[in-house]
Order: sequence, then C-alpha cells, then structure tokens
Amino acid sequence: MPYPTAPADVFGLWVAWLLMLMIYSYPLYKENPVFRFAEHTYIGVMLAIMLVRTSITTTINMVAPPLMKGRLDYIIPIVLGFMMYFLLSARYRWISRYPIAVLVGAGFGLGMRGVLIPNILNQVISTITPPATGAGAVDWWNYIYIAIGTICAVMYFVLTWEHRGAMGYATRLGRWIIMIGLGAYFGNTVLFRMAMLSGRAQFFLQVLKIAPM
Amino acid sequence: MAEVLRREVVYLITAIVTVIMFIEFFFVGTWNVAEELRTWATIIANISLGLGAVRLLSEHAKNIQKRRAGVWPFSIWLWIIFLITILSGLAGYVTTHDAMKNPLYNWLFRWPYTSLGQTLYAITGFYIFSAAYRAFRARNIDAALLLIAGCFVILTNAPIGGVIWGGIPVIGRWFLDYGQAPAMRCFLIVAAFGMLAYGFRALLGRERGFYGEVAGE
Repeated sequence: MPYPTAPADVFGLWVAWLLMLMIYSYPLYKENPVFRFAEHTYIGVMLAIMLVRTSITTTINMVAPPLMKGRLDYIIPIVLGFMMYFLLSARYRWISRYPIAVLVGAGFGLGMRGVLIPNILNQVISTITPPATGAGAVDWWNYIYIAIGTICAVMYFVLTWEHRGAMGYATRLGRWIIMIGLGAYFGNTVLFRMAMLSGRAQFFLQVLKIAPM
Repeated sequence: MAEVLRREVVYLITAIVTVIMFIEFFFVGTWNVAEELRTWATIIANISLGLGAVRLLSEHAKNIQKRRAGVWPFSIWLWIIFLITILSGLAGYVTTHDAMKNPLYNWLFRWPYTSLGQTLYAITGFYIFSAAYRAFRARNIDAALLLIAGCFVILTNAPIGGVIWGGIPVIGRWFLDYGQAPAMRCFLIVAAFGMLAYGFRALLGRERGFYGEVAGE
C-alpha cells in the first residue's frame, strides 16, 4: 500500500498511529485514561461493525430472498433468534433454551460427523501406513517415531487404567512426546506473536516515513 | 406441563437436530432438511449476536446513569462512537445495499477498526517472552524437552539460528515436520473422541450446562 495522499486517508493513518500508541501505553507504562479511550473506541466501533456486517446485513440477505418467494417457514429461525433475547429476563430465561437447543444440536451434529474421517480415520491411517518401497533409514526412523509416539501419546489420555508398570513406561514416553510437540508449537507461537509486533513497529516507522510503506 | 416445556422438550429438540445433522453425513447432497436446519442455525446465531451488544451497551448505560467514577466518560464515548458507526453503516446499507459504500463507515472500518484490531492482537508480543521464560525453564525432563524443541524452532525461523550453527535449521525443521507430528496427531484423535462423547451426552440430555440451567431453577 503506497503512502496515502487523500486528506481523509492521511488523517486516518495518523489516527490509527495515535490509537496504536495509546493501546501500547498499557504494556509499556500502565493502565491509563489514554489506553481506556482507545480501548473503548475499539469496542464501540467493533460492536457496531459486527452488528452491521453479521447481525443485520447478513441476516437480511439470508432471510429476505426466501421470504419474498413465499417461504414463510423462514419466520421460524427469526422468531427463534429473537427468543434468545429472553436470556436477559430472569423470569422467562427458559424460553431462550429453544434457540440454544437448535444451535447446540446443529453444532454437535456437524461436529460429530466432522471428526470421524479427518480426525480419527485419516490420522490412524497416516500413523500406520509405512514409507513407500525404497525409502531410506531416515524415513523409517520418522515413521517409527511418529507411530510409537502417537500410540504412547494417546495412551497418556487413557484414564481408565492406572499409569503403572508397562502402561506407566508408555505414558511417560507419551508425555515426553507431547512436550516435544508443545515445545515446537510454543516456539512457533512466540515467533508469530513477535512477527505481529514487528509488523506494528514497521507501521510506526512507515507512518513517520522512516521506513517505506 | 411447564416443566416439560422447560426441560424435556428442549432436550428432545437438541437430540432431533443432532441426529438430523449426523444422519445427513450418509446422504450428503440428497437431503435438504439438514441443509435448511444449518441455514436456520446460522440465522439464529446471527440474530443472537446482538444479545452481546445489548448486554454490553446496557452495562455502559448503567455506568453513565450512576456516574461511576473514572468509567462513565468512557462509556459515553463508547455509546457515541457506536452510534456513529452503526448509523453510518446502516445508511450505507439502506441507500446502496453495501455498508462499505458509506464514506464514514468505510473510514472507520479502514483506519480505527483495522489498526486497533491488529494492535490489540499484537499486544501479546509484549508478554510472550515472559511466558516463554516461565515455560522454558528446564526443571525436569518434560520441561527440558519443551525447552529444546522450542529453542530449535525459534532459532530455525530466526536468521541468526543458521549463522550460529548450520545444524540448527536442520534439527529445527525436523521438529516442525516430524517431531511435533505425534503430539498433534494425538490431540486430533483425543479431541475427536472427546467431541463424540460430549455429543452423545448432549444427545441423551446428560450435558446441560450450555442451556444456562441454574441449580433449583
């Protein structure tokens, strides 16, 4: 994105820059009124944008076409949606359980069928499928490490037997495998967060025209 | 009768919707009922999102009403900026069927919203090092393995890793490609079984926390 030239955009760029500094006054100093101002600005704008984009425009776009075609059954989800607002009333809160029931049912139904093949079947197949013919020693080592590692790590979550004896050795190995995985994952997370922060530092310099935009 | 409406009918609806969604798995593309229910659920979820806004705005209205010290001026500002954004967005939607075509809404989206979103997301960068310091302390074998894997991955992705020793990126890449694979695969499998167990409990009406049931209600 080149450095903006339109007055409204230049003003917006500086507003964004100032709001960023206001937010970072919290971790760099302590909680203060300037931070709270920026925080409340974000909450207000985000709330309105979320309502405009999701609650209002998307819902109208989803509901209006079928209703116009005479599909009156689409009144049901609208009524159910507004029944959720009974959560605000202590006396009639139970009415909100109906839309929750539909949402929970849809979520669980989709979730349960969604995990069967990718999360269980495919993972088991990937774990037990050996390397292709002609694979080198490194490939076999990786295969054995992943296969044994996955089995031991899964055994760590088996809580119906006490982790003693042979089970104890397997679950201890499983815990080490999990630690290696979490270490690698955490390393990636650290880097990702730092990349985000350096992006903001870059923005800080770009607005001041110290770094190219 | 009221008790049946408050509890049993609700559990029954959950069970019916769950079963319909699950059964569709075996008739993908041929069964419209599940497709319709999915659309309904999306509409319900979209409308319900406003509930959070109502709750939050009413809390800020209370702050203003009670002149809560150190808070109420910010609550007024939140209300003002909220009204400006939502009215400009609705004006854009009503006139052009696209909220983004309203210049004020577009400006608020492009500058304060986007920038603050990125800034707040990146704020964890300030804390991640202290978190890393606490996590990466080799007090036992488990923590040592976490430290070793984490350090290799960090140094692999940072250019300085390869400069220190050429083997660091090779080992780090192994951790990324194979080292973490069993743990991640295990999490997927275990979470899937957890999801199935939780789903069946909900189906049988044994899991009720999400209905907001309060003891004695």
